[in-house]
Amino acid sequence: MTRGVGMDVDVTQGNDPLIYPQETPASLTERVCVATLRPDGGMWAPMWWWMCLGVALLLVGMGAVSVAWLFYAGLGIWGIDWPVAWGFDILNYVWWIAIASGGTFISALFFLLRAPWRTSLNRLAESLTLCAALCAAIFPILHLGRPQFFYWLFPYPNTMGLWAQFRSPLVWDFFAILAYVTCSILFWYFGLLPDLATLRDRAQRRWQQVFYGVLALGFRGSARQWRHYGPVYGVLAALMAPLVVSVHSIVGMDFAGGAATGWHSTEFPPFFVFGAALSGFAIVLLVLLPLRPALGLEPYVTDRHVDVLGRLLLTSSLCVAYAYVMDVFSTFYGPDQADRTMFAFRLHGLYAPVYWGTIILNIVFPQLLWWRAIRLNPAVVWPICLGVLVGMWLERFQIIVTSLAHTQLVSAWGQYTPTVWEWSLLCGTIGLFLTAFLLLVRFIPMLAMAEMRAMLGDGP
Amino acid sequence: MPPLGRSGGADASDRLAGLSDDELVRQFPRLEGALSHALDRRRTLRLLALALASGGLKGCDPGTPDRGFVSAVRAAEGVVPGVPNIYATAHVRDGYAEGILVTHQMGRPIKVEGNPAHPGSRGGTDVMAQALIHDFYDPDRAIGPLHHGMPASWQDLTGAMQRMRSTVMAPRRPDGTRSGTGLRILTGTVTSPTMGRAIAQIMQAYPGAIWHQWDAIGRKHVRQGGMLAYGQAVSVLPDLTQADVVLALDSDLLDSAPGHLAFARDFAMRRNPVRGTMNRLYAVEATPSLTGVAADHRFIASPVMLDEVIGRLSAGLLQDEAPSGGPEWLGPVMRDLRAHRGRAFIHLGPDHPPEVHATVHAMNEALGGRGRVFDVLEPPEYRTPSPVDDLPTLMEDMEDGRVEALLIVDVNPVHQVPRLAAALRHVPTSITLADRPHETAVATNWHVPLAHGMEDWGDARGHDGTVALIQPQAMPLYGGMNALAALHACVGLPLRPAIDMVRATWRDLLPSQRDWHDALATGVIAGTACRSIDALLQPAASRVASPASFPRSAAQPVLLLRPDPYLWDGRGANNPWLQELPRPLSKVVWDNPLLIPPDLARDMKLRNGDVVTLSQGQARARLPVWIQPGQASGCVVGLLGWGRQHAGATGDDVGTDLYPFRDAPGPLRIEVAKETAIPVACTEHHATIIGTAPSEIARHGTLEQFRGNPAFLAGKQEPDASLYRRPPDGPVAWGMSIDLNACIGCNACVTACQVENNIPVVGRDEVLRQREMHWLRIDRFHEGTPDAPDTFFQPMLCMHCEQAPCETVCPVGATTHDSEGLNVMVYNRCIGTKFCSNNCPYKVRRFNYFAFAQHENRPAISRNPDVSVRTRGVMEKCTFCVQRIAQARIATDRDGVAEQVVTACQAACPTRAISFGDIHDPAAEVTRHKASPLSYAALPEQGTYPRVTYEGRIRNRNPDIGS
Amino acid sequence: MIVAAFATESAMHDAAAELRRVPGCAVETYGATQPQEEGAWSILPLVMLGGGMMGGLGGFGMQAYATTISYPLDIGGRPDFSWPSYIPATFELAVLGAVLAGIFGYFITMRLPCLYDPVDDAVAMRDVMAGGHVVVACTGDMSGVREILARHDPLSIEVVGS
Repeated sequence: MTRGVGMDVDVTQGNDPLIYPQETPASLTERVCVATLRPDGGMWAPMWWWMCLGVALLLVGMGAVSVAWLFYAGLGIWGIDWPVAWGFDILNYVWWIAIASGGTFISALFFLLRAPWRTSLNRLAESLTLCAALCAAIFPILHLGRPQFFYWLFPYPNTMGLWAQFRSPLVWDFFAILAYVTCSILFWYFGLLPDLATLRDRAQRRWQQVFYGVLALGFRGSARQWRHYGPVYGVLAALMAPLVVSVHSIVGMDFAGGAATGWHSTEFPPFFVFGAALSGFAIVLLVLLPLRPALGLEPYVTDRHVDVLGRLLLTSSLCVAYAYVMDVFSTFYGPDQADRTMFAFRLHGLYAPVYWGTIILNIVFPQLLWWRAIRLNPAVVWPICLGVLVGMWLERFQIIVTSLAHTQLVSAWGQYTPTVWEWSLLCGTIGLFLTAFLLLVRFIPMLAMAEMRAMLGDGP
Repeated sequence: MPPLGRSGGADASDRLAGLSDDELVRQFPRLEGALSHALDRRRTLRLLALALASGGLKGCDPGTPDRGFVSAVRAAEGVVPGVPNIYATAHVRDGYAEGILVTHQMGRPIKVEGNPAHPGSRGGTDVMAQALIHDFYDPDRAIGPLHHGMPASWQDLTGAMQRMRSTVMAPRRPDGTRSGTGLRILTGTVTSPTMGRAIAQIMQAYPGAIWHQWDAIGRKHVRQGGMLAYGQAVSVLPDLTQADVVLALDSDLLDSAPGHLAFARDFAMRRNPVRGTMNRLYAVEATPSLTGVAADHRFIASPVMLDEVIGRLSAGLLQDEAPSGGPEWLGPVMRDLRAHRGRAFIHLGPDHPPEVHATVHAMNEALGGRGRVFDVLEPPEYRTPSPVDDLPTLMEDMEDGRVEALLIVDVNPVHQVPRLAAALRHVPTSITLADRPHETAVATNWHVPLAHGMEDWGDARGHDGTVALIQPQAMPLYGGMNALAALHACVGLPLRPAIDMVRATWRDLLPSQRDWHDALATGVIAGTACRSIDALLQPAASRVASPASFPRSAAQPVLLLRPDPYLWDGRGANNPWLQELPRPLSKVVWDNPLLIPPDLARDMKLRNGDVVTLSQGQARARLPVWIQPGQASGCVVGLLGWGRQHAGATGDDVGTDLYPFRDAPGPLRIEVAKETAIPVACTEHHATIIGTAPSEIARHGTLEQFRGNPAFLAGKQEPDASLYRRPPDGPVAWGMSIDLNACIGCNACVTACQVENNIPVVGRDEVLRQREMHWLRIDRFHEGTPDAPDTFFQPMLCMHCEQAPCETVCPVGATTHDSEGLNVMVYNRCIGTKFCSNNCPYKVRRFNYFAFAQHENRPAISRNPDVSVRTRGVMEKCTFCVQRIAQARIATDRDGVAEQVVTACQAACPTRAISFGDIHDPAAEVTRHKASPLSYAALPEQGTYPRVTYEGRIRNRNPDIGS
Repeated sequence: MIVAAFATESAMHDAAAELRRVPGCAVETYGATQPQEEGAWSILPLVMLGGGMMGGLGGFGMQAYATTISYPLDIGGRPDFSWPSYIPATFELAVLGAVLAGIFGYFITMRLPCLYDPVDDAVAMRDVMAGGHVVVACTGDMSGVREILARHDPLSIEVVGS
């Protein structure tokens, strides 16, 4: 791994180039820096940015109220109950953490695979990962009956001599999230160092020079710094790829480790990895399509990229389809009558729309992506991605709520209806996600300049 | 501890006379008003002396010579060991006593257990006795005299009484009538000899007075039926241990008849084929009852059909006519009864007219069981020298203005008889003596606050006549007066402390102080049971019954009004434990929806909770409906005792008052109301599921199958091979076995658990959100069709699995196993992930979504100090009463002899369905029950190895009757 | 010290190579992209391996100690030493250890953060991270070095510091 990714292929050639032919490192650097630093001092940020931020902050406020009331009044304000003790809390946690996976898959996995298209996307994808992981990390704490004691999961020395209970999937989950969030941030920041250095050198205004100068930590591009940079980045990528797989396997084990009907299944770990990939790619496309024109990234994020992401979405959708089929199979092949009863309830019970919505949004619609014309048509791809995100949410609802509502004992069957407080909390996290991402878009280059330069090589 | 002190009622007034006013005020804050006016101080003090006589001053214990209470002998079975102080007394409902033992912790009553020495309890209790504790501490009880419902001073009260006496009871009345003319005393059924004597004295002193007896849920028909059959007042007492075949017609034998605890116990003794020969119970009823569910065959019959059945039955049994016509099962049943001559018994519910009761008595005589399966005794009710009148005549007299003064003692007719409220306007002086300001208390001119039954001296007879002594368990919390003394005070008879009155009643039976103490200790006076009498059956009774008891035609729906199983006639309305206790069959709480049969629901397109308008004559009501599987078509059932207006903070305006429908003339009309459905709180949230085979969970079969292969229910078993080496057992291994043959689903265990373990009540809205907290619940399964399902009960509590799924998933180790096999829950360590509840296949864990315990309307001192009260956000569940285990362990260490542990549910169970103990002790009852071929574990495929096992239910079906 | 900017990467490398032959002359090149060097080798991957090992072994050890020696509890009848359930946390901690070791190992070996360096005074340094190519030489006699640099037609030559 001497230089950046994809030096062997010339990315600017061919009738469908990854990057427009006329682009050079200089032009790239210029374009990105201008977009981020705005030396002309024109409008501080584009109009659409301010509008999005306004909406996002409104949602954040809603979420803040919801959380405040939750802490004051207690878990009872939610709709969870005796048979269905988990609802939106765990549901949204799983949903967000799955969304976070996309960035890691793209920037780590495809770095190892030497996929040249990855370079234009990884910064954007990783930024999405950070924001989504942030939202996910909130729920495990909020869902506690006594959130003030969440730290009891840490293995910390205490006068009672007590430890966390390491046989519990929740503890595995805790460590997984801890590792995943930390590593994602560091991986993202490490890849960002050279670009921060560039911005530091290009900055005109004082605050920018200080801001980026501090963040760049004094990276100057000396041969020595570069010599160790490459190998470390490579190993980091090699670690992140299995990490993300393990995280989602463990999230799967939160349920597979339980005995509830519809949970106790060995297929869950890979099933959840598939699901994570699906929603991960979906969110990247969902954000990329509007952002490309908005930030003027067309020269670097071309139809090739959209095409590739479309194929990935289709592939992961097929994997998820396989998991669904296995779900049915193992239920009806297995010996457990309760599982079958629950599945029948899933198919045509109170929550049947959820199940069928899952199938249609996650499996049926993405099949359109077999056609290249459709893959390249944002007007179709974007709704599909949105549908997939909703579909993945429904899938989690169906796994968590539908199962708990119909466990082994008939006398303990129940239902679950979310309250306004759960909805507002979900909106709040969406707002948090948007806010964080908008800030990154504004202050962090959404293209990995250093790697792009390496890919473009020395211009004439 | 019960009051100890050195002061008596007799000398109290003198001592009081010596007190200065401000001393008085210090001791009786409520007197301030009285003393501040210019007043007849002597009379006030006299009244105070009454209050003292009923135990008013600190340390005042009227009359017990050594000022101490004698604690119960601990030898008898069923007495809870290892608990500080236990005092015997009795719980009286509609006159009939049920012996109880009250457990005191640091001097406060905190738990009620059955009194093994009392024939009406035999160690078991019913729900209402268990819930007594809450009534006792109820902050809504009477705290002072009321005048027209407004707080008044004792002084005004005494003035009013004075006036009453000067007019009504004047020795020489202006119109020359006898003294006391126009004075009426209305009481419930009185079995208490002392109370009886007290009233009789009044009758003597005022010959013109008349005593009326009446109960809202009366057994008048039963008594009149006995009268018709035997020509004198009798009580017919069955001995179910001797009965091989029992036919229960609309019967309340197992759930509410006086002595139902004893009957249930005897019945259950003959239900487990492993431990004896089974009897056979046929139940014929319109709406499912505990008796019906316990029966081997339950036949659904509307009242019309039931009359026909009884008619044909009497024809067959009394005149040996061959059964012709009628339902196809009637023939086999009659044959079965005949085949068991001398060992067959027929029981008829209290709602049926006296003639029908007489016929049933005749049939029982014809079946030749007298002396073996039933006996004819003197009635336990107090027999008055002067004849006793009832309520209707009283109301007529009131309306005709013949009543000048009315004393209503401890009944609430204004709520239960709308007509009385109007009639009261014609009565110059009406006084209610009651322990709470209920509808009658505020409707009458005066309300004299009485002490609670647990603060009072008294006595009462049980269903078999045995006398139970009632001794106060504490000082009157709210300064109520003693009923006996208050009664005499009102009519101005010389005052005597209640204890002396009781003592005087039994002077001859308990001459020595020692006898008296023994009686107090055991709670009963031996040898006071009613003697059997050789009353001969009146020939008139033997005629075939052709009763037109209810004016009804099959066309219109019939409204059957039944007392609520827990609120009874409404007296339990302010008790949240009773409000939130799932009704055995509907599982409904905090409401009394109209129970409708499934076919009516189909015809009228009604779903649970839809609102209907009920109208009959003047009576109208809008209430939600609830579909009751197995209810006779054409019958709708309403529960009485709801819709109280002056019950208290908890009970006001809960449910719908259906008393107005009781004597409403004219046809019943049911119309679907426009308004949207009212959600009905029910603890079975999937609504009633029919046909989901419980066969794996609540296993059951027939006696034939059992004879073929005793272990036929063993069916699915736990996997023998386990991945893990099971940890070695500790000194003991606690386990429980529940005999589904004995369980009649009465819910006493559920309430006992709630009281013992400080389990909070969550209220209607939270139950609607499926957050009730009962650690122990009784699951009810229906099998078959909605119209005629087979119903099964199964108590479900923490199984204390040896490989507990809840423990492995808790991230902080808040639930773990101890060396004695208990699945322990560490509340302080719980952070509330709720994963344990999700992972529990039996769903027996409950979560504190809010600080439920904080919001309960009960003083903290009413809680069990041995059980921590759980805070918001923690999980809780059954602990096998670990506090009792700990007490036993301490006692064992202290005394060296192994103490027996009895869990709260086990102690309460009237049928001894629950056995608990060390499953490694081969001698232990639980070990023997677990060895029974019927024993099985619930959901064995989960591989949890529960420490709680069940004995499957066997039904002794009549082979001649197709199911 | 002498700072020279070059137009192309190759020119920069030639100049640097020649300067390195000058005795007692410390040379360092700066560029916006990783320089192509044959046989580039770094110790840091080994450091990360070590960090991973520590994280993993430490994690497993902690769990084993907690459940067997420190505070053994009977959890659902499972063995005290139930190693299969330790694996997920062990893996996560291993990855965490490796990543931390890598990042902070890099910072330490590179002496980062280092917000000021004398070369920053050279104007040429401004363009480095934007695609510039710069050679920095530190030596006693300026003239020799200046000649060599001049031979590779630099865009600019400046002397900063002493």
